[in-house]
Amino acid sequence: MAEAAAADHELLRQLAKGNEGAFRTLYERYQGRLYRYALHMSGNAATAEETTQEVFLLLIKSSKGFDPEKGSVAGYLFGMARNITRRSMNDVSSEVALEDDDDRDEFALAGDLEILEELSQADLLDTLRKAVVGLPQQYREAVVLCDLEEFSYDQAAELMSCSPGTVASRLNRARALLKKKLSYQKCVR
Amino acid sequence: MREIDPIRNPSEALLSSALNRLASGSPKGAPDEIGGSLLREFRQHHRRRRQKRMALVGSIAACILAVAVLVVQKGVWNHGAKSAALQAQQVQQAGKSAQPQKAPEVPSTHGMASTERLSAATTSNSGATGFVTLAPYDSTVSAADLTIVRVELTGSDLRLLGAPVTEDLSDQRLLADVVVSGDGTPYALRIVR
Repeated sequence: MAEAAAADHELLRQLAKGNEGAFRTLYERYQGRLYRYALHMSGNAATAEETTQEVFLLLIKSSKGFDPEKGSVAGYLFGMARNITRRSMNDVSSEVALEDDDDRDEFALAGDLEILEELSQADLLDTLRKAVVGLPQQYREAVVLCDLEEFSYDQAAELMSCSPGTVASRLNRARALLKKKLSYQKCVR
Repeated sequence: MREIDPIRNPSEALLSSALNRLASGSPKGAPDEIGGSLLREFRQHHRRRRQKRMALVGSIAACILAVAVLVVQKGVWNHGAKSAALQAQQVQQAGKSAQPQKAPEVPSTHGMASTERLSAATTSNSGATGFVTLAPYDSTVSAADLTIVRVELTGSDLRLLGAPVTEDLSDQRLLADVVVSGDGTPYALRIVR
């Protein structure tokens, strides 16, 4: 991981000097993850494209703004993506507050969630995307990074500027909220 | 990744499976056009940066050159002033050895070459420097107050100043060094060409 960070840092130094190959490598390395991060965080392809573009434009124009003492290049890029996505998402009303004291047991929840198995891929993606986007921002970020992008807790903690324990706790909470949200959707179908 | 027991925790297993499907069903990356436009932006940005840097380097080089030229010019001026003062001193010394007098009218020397006539005319009253003292010459004037000015005048004008120039050179333009005091009074003169 340290080697990858050092390689990223070297690429960024080369990019700042105008090395096109370094830019291409960094772009290929991160554009997919940044795009999907922004897509899952916003639920909007246009926002994801805009975010990806803006992150790399900022990188081109102010690559010297990166301070290796403060974190990795990945953390720097995801930090920019997080800020841009947040700014783009004016529709905070999509965050649905769900009651925490749902006393239905695990098996009742599972029964409700079985509908997910029956959904077509397109419907599933649509339903899940909406459910993820409806999560509060810090929980949504934990699900996106750990469940969808398969970052480790340590990596996610670095990107989210919190401890790995906080990431785990946010992820648990996020998954509980997701299950309830999906179960609720099943109930209204 | 967390291990999920599908028997004890079926809802977690279902959710994980659904999230995996969402992850695998999501686009792999941004559209290619974004990469293309970013690459163009990268090239433009660095082209502009290189141009700015070249302009900056050019400006700095021009400034350094201008300063160097000024320094060299100042050095030349200083050297010129020193040599002028030195020559003025020599004029003074020459003046002390020869009595100041009105330059004699040089007789016409038809048949001689102009340069020969000039040298013949300037041999009298001139020291090693080739300067001829003029009527207003004052040996008490300090050498520091004297300046040598190069002028181009007709032979008749130079003769009016007191230079030993023959009649047949009256209409020719001649180059001469004139030693002048601070108030412009000519003290000595030498024909250069």
